[in-house]
Amino acid sequence: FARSSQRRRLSLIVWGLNISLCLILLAFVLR
Amino acid sequence: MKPFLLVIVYLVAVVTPLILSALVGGPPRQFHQELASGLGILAFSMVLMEFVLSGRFRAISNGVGLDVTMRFHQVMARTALVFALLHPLLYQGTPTAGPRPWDPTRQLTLTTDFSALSTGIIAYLLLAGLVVMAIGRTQLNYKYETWRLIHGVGALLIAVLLLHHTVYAGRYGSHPVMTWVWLALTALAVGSLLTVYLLVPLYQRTRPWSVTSIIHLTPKQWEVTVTPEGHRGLDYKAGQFVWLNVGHSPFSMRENPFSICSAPAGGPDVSFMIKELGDFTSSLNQIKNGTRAYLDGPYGNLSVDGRDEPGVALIAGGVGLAPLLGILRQMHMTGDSRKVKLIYGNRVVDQIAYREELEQTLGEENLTYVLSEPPKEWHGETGLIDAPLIDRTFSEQEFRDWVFVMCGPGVMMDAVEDHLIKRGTPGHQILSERFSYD
Repeated sequence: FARSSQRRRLSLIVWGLNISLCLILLAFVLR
Repeated sequence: MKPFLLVIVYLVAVVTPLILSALVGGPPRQFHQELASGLGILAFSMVLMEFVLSGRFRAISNGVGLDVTMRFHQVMARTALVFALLHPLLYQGTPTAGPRPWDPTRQLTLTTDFSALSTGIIAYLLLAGLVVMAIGRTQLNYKYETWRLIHGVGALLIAVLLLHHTVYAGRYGSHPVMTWVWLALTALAVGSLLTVYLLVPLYQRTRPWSVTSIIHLTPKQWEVTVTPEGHRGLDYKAGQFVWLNVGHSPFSMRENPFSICSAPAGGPDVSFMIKELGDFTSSLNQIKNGTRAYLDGPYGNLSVDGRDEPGVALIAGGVGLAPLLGILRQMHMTGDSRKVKLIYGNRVVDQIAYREELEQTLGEENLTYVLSEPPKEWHGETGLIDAPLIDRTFSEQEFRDWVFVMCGPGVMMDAVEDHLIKRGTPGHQILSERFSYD
């Protein structure tokens, strides 16, 4: 792992992705 | 690929099968059945995406860095595992063995066809095992090539099993359109794996290298130089790294990542500074001149080529000197007019490598040695590469204007980066690479 700031940024991106996936899944279920 | 674009492409690729399933797969069922199917669909597409995030595809990893690509691969695998583990637990209702004539769109029918379920069950167990083995890899301490083989074959098995399970057990996957979509995506994933395991080694066989010198630099550090046999060599930038295989077949997976410490301007020979550590590096003294070697690369973004900052600050910990030495040599050989300073930290004085060359190239005023366990007669800097030392080395203007390149232990790089940002160095002027050899 390179830099601490990259690590923090990636952590945010991953959480954003996980939440997006859950919302898209919810849209699929409730369609 | 740029980071933002990579995330968007990833998200679109992962959710496309889910959206297509919704479009072609018939009316929705009860909440929990749909949730279970949706989780399964997402988990499968995420597993398939893991194949192209393996780090060996430069189109992906060179834009964001191999370290970030690998970390992304690791954390998304965990999300995929959670989705996969929940998937079978949410189905409810009355399973049936065969199709029901009054339920053509399988609104109420759950399959209990064991052949279709069994592949899912095996993949379920294998996926959990694969992720647990990956997370516990350092504790389990298996050889790198053993690890790669287990991980690659395990991933291949999981992809094929999931394809069968999805197409034969899935209400959505059994739709002809989705069957073709899953078949194509699985073929792409398996193709990417075969590229790394078969096509790249086949290509490497046509471009062999041989060891031309091995120099004992310090008690535990060696310099290994290889020369191309019958080809032009490697098109790389100073500061990049390759996967190096010495003395084994290119199909053996016995390769490790090493930074290049030579400069492209120095000719086609490529040199590596290697510290004895781990399974390959502990047998360095047994390598003979003429031994066949193979290179896969170059990888890495630690390059100052074409940048317009007026100065280059190099900060190295231990064997992290290697890529920075490559940069320094390239600047020296090409008559680069940018100013350059080097901070080089080690534990003891015997670990300082290339001392004469560094002093000749940089001069005393631009070179700072740091020792954490200095001898009595040592007059240089002592301790670790920390904030006060960095403040003594660089001026306020240099913090703002120069590009800072660092390579070394993670603790050092975190401390240095935090301090540089505090001193006003913009993030895009900090380049770094962490090494930890297997």
